Formats: sequence, C-alpha cells, structure tokens
Amino acid sequence: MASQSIKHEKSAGKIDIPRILMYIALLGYTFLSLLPLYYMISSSLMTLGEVNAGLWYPKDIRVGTDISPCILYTTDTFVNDNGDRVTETRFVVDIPEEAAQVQKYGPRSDVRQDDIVRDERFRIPFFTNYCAAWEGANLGTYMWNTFRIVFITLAGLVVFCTMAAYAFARMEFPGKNLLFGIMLATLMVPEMVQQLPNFLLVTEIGNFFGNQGLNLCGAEVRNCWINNWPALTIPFMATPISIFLLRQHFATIPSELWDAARIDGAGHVRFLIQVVIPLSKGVLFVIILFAFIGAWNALAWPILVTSGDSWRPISYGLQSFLNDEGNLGHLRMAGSMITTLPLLILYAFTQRVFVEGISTSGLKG
Amino acid sequence: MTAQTVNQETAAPSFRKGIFNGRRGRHFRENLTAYLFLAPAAILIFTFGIFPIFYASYVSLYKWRIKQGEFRGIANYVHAMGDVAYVFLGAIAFFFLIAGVTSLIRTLKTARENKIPIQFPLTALLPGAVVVYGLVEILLSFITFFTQEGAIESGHAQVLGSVPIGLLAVIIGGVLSTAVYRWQHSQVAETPHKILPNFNTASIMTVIFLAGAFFVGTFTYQQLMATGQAPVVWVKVRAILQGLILLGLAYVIWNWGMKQFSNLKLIVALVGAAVFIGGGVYLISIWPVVTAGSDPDFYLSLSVTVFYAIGAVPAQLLTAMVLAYLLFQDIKGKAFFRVVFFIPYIAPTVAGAAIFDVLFSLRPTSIANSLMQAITRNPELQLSWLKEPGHAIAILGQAFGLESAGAWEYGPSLALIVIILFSIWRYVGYDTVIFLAGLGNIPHVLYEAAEIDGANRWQVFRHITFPLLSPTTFFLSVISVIGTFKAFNSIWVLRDTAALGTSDTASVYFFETFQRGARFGYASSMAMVLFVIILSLTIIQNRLAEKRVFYG
Repeated sequence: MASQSIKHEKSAGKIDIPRILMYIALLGYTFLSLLPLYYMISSSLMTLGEVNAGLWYPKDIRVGTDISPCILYTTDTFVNDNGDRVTETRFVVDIPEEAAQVQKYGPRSDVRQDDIVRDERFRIPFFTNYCAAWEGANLGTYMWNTFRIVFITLAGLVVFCTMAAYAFARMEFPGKNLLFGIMLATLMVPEMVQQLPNFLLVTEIGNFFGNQGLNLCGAEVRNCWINNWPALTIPFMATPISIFLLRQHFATIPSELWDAARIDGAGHVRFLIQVVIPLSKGVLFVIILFAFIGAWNALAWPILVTSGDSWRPISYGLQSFLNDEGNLGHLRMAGSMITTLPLLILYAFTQRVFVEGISTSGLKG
Repeated sequence: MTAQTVNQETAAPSFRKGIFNGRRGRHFRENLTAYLFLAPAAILIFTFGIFPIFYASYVSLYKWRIKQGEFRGIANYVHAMGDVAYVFLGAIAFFFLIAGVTSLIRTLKTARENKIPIQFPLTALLPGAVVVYGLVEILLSFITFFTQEGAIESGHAQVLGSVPIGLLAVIIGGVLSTAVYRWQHSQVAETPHKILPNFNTASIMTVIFLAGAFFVGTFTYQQLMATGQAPVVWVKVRAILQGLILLGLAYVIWNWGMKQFSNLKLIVALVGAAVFIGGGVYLISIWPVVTAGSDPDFYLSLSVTVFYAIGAVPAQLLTAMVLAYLLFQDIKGKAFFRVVFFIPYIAPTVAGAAIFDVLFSLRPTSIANSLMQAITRNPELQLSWLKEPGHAIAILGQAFGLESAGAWEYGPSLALIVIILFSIWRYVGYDTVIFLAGLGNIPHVLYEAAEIDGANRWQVFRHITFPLLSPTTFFLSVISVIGTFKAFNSIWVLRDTAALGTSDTASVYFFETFQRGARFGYASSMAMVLFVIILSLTIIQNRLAEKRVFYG
C-alpha cells in the first residue's frame, strides 16, 4: 500500500494506463455481476410477452390497455349463501390476462363474480406482477414462517452456544480438549450425510414424545416434530461454527475481568450475563445474521420435514412457486425479487459487519 | 488464583465435609458447572451432528423403503459402485489400520522419548479396550432406541447393545485406566522430576481405529465370500489395485525426483509423469469392466460433480484473486466495489438460480440465445441450455462454426455449464472478500523492500503477493471443492428432466433417491461414499498443502 501511494505521487499528472485498465476491469466485473440482478428487476416489471421476446427493459408501461392494473384495496358487496347481504373490505388482486392460468386466487369461489358490487379504493398499476406473485406464491405466509423459525432457532442458539463457548473458553474440566476437538471435527461432516438419519431421528423423536403425551407444540397431531417447528429449529440450536466463533472471542476477554468479578462475588452465570455478553455483541450479531440468512436459504431440510403451508419457509415456497409457474417468466422474476429484497435491505444496513464477519471467520453460509 | 485458593481454604471451616466443600469439593463443583454449561449444546451436537453418521452407516446396510426392511449387508454399496465397493471398503479398513498403527507408534515414541518402559503405553490399551467396548454398546443401544415402530416385531431390526452393560464397561474401564495410571506413576516417580504422559486418550483412539479396521475388513471379507463370486471379484479388485499402485508409484517417483539435482530431476520427473499417465490410461481402460452391473446414474452424478468442481473452482478463484489484487491497489471507490461484488452472494440461492433459469431459457429470443446469435452471427442459432444433455464442447464448438467439434464426446453437458456459470457468479464476491483479508495480512515491509530492490508490479505479485497469499488460496480451494460436493439449492432449481441427469451432482442424485425414490438404505450408502470422498479430499489437500503452502 505504502509503496503504491509513493508511486502514485510520482506519476501524478500523467495518464497512468495500468490504472485505467484496473478501473476498466473492476467496472467490467461490476457490470457482469449486476447484470442478472438488473434482469430480474426489469423483467419483473414486464408483461409475459415482453419477457418471452427477450427484451432488456419493459417497453410497454401503459396502464389500462393490455395490462390490467392490480387492485389492492376494495370493498365488495354481495349476497352470500345464507341470503344475507355482506359488505367486505379486503385486499384482492386482479391479475393480467396472460396470467389467467394462475388464477387460483380469484375474487371469491363461493360467490358468482357478477353478483359482486365492487368499489375499488386503491389501485397500483405497474406492480401487477408483484401482486400476482405475492398472492400466487403465498409469499407472505412463507416469510412469516421463516421469521418464526429464525426466532425460535435463535432463542436456543444464542443461549446454548454462549454457554458452551463460555465453558470452553473460561472453565477447566477433564476432557476439555478432546470435546473441543470432536466438536471441530463435526464441521467436516457434510450436511448431506446427516440429512437422512436426522429425518428418521426427528420422526422417531416426535413419535416418542407423542406416545408419552409430551407434545411440544400443543397440537392435536400425534407427531409434533414433523411438519412443525421442532423439526425445523431444534437440530440447528447448537452449531459448532457458532460455538467456535464465540469461544475464540471469549478467549480474548482478559482474565483480570474474571478475577475482579470473582472478588466481587460473582459466579459464572453472573459474569457471563453481565460482563461477557455485553462485550460480545459484535460476534453475536454476526451469528444472528448468518442464522437468518441460513434460514432464508434453507431448502433441502424443509422439503423433507414440511408438508403443508403452516411451517414451510420462504425458499421452499419460492421454489414450489417457480415449479408451478414454469413458463411465466415475469411472475417468477417478481417472486424472486420479493424474496431477494429483504436480504438486500438487510445487507444495505449491515454490510460492514457482514463483510468483516465473513473475512474474519470465513463462514460459508 | 493460587493466592485466592489459599485464602479461601483457610477461611473455610475444615469440619464442613461433603462433596461440594473443601478443595476437592470445589474442584468437583467447578467441573459439574462446566459440564452443565456444555450439556445442551453437547447433547444437540451429538444427536444431530455425530450420531447420524453412525445411524447412516446402519441404515445403509438395510433395504429400507420408508420402513426398515431386510438386512442386505454391503449389497447397497455393491449396487451403487459395482465391485469397486470391495476396494472402497477395503481402503477404509486399510485407512483405519494405518491410523491405528500410526497412533500406536506415536504413543510408543512418546514413551521412549520420556524414557518410560514400552509396556506402559501397552498396558493402557486394556482399559482403553474396555471403554471402547462400553461406548460401542451405548451407541448400539442408541440405534435400537431410534428404530421405527414395529421394526423389531417384524424381525427386520434386532435389539442391539445395552446401556447398563455399556455404562458398566465405561466405568470399569475408567477406574482401570486410573488405576493403571496411578500404578505407572508410582513406578516412574522413583526417578525424580518425571511426569508420566497420559496414554489413555491415545490408547482409546488406537483401539477404536484397530477395531474399526478389523470390523470393516472382516465384514467385507465375509460378505464377499457369501456372494460366491469371490474369484471373479478378486480379478477385478486386483486390476484396480494394480492401477492404483501405479498411480502411487508415480507420486513417489515424482516426489523423489523433485529432491534431486537439475539433470536427474528432469529425467525422474518425466519417468514419474509417464508412469502416472500409464496408470491413468490403464484405470480408464479397465473401468467399464470393473464397474459392470453398477448404478450408471451414480457414476454419472460423480463425474458431473468432478466436472462441476473443475469448471467452477479454478475460474472462480482466479477471478476473485485478480479482483482482490486490483481492489488492494490504491484506487478510488474500494468500498463501493467490495459491497457490489458481494451482492450475488447475498441474494437467496433459489432466487438467483431462478434468474439464470430465465436468462438461459431455450426460447430463440432468450437473453442467452440472442447473445449467442449476436456473437456467432447466426440468427438461426437456438441452444437448449438447461434442457440440453449434449456435451458442451461439441455444441458450443459447432455453434461457433467448428464442425469437427461435434465429434467431441467428453466433458460437461451444456446444462452443467449454466450451473457452473451460476456458481462462479455467486461465489466470486465471497472469495474476493476472503482474498482481501488475506492480502491485508501481508506485511507492508515486504512491499517496501521490493520497491527498494526495484521490483516491478509483476515481480512483486509473483514473488511476494502470490506465495504469501497461498494459505488463503488453499483455504478457499478446500472449502470451494467441498462446496461443490455440497451444492444443492441452485442445482435443485436449475435441473431439468430434459437434461437426463447430466446436471445432477452427487448431492442432488442422493436427494432424489432419498426424497423422491424413498430408497433410504441405498441413499445412505451413497451418502456414506460421498462422505468418505469429501473426507479423503480434505486430507489429500491438507497433505499437499503442507508441502506447497507457505505459511509466513
């Protein structure tokens, strides 16, 4: 660095060809890496015809002619099965003609459409595809599911991993190095090997608890683990990589602090909660961030252990939507865009922590 | 700490007895707290991280379609790999044997260095064996605990192991080993200032490895004999071993040659290369014969994985290294570039793969096809991309007007090329960030010294940056290669039945067999094979890196 700046001063004022080439290379790769994302955004705003024609940008941003706008907020008045006159205010989506095949979410199935007197309050043109994808892929439910899964996982992960990491960093007990070595060795085991047995284990554990009458989720089903939160969260509540990161950080906390706390009469739990954790906010934040991204990307395991919409997370939801709408490129891109946005927003706010977290730990999430 | 200990010792009244009081009591309490702190994480990691490996190997021995079926021995492995399975399992037994013997020799060496009689570590083997026996009993009873309902009644699963016997054995073994240790210590202590190294862990490891070698070896041998095909299999096994020995020999010659002086070096290296090529050609030529009767899709998925790794990893690392090197120079907008390059890695895998699915659609008007039409100036051109099982080199060659390329029948399919492109696009930013961290660790003094010596940019890169970056490069290459074996989400989205499995890597084929085919036993045997492959790749890369990587 220092040498480079010296060089720079010497050559100030002249045209530095290597430097220009450097910028060209960097900008070139920037262009390449953003190109797919640009295409996702632009085609999510196109009509199906425009996507299929291979356009690079939406040409036809007209409202009214061949793109019917998306209704977001309406008041419907109709007569229901009991003969009562009902007025309902709700969000509905009126999708464009090309996407009629995905109209599983039409106005109402139990009422003939002609009988509805609709007062449309609020229309957003142009975001048609987003509305259709949001409704068609049920993305709202899946996002909510993902948030619930992340929340439960983190509640366990933070507590268990902090405790284990603290024991490894600050306590002396027989077999410490052996246990730590075994834990690090499990980092080498690919998930693929664990998936199948874990599926069987989770099923059997669920059956076991069900037979004992200990249903964690309080549901009426016999096996409460499969297709419910325990299968999706409990196996991920202690990850070796989190314990390792936390331990490495805890080991840097000076032992004088421990001595001082000890003299003041604090035990391990008090010291952990009042001194260690406040000093480790950064690492904990990185762990939370990666747990969130991991849950957002989880696909294989949810395919195995979920069978309905009640706990299916976002990646699986998006993937089945992509399968269903195989030919509707504009809707697929809109769905992908909706799924990508939260992570992009998160990244925009946390990018420094993120990049630093990755470069210090080398996590491959 | 010691000062405090003394104070508290004197302060504590000596008449208060009990396991929680006094110096020993506090020790006990401290240990108990530590184990309580560890317990939840340890239980979870054991149940969902370590135990599954044993359970997978148990499942792989059965016919298991959702419900546990009959015991099949190693038939699942033979079904997947053909008769190579015997070589594979033999290699595992051999590896265990080597590990056990190495562990034993290392222990004996420690004993000799400390001038301790050689029977000391050997006597530690006895309690070690008792402990290992207890652990195996407990593990087997765990497996029994997780058997499916009705499996034992129907006679498919047996009740294996017993917790009381296991615990008893572990306790007896522990007591025995403590007793042996005390006794040895009393012997050694006669010569003053002697510390006896603890042989217990080492002896347990030795017993585990040797017992593993014995078990896997004899089990494979019995299974082989039971098939009644032993002579036929033996011929194939011998052929494979000959090829492998040639490859090993080539490696030894090459290594030896690299240590010689200049003239000899070249000759020996050439001999080594010749032997290597000979071994490779021999193996390839006998391959169709020795794998006859195996699952062709399994080998296809393995070759797809290898092509995927070869296609993605070097390109991805090279691009990332160049980008990181450029970003490390004194340029403006560093932070901007770093943030932007990282975005593909942030985007959800499924969404990112969906973009590539649309970009590389088979329509003549799709983005990829229209770009290809513009480049080749052939408006008629229409490639099927993700739905194309044909060899990429042949198809792209023909697209660029090389008619003779059509005869090329090797290499990845065009569908796999799209997946490789996706992988490169996604991981370059991540690799760049890691490379940047690695570059930041190189001391500036070296650059200044090079500046004084008058080195140009290329020389600085070649002789300072590149060698000092090698640990980072090594780390990234290991996790990227392992990553290609693990990759699932993107391929699951991008695969297409029309590509006839030429884009299914091993992990995807495993998942397909497991989830769609519901062939649990067969799928776990494949998972075990992949596990062993990944492990040995890691070990080989580590060994190579020891020689090649420069850790400043």
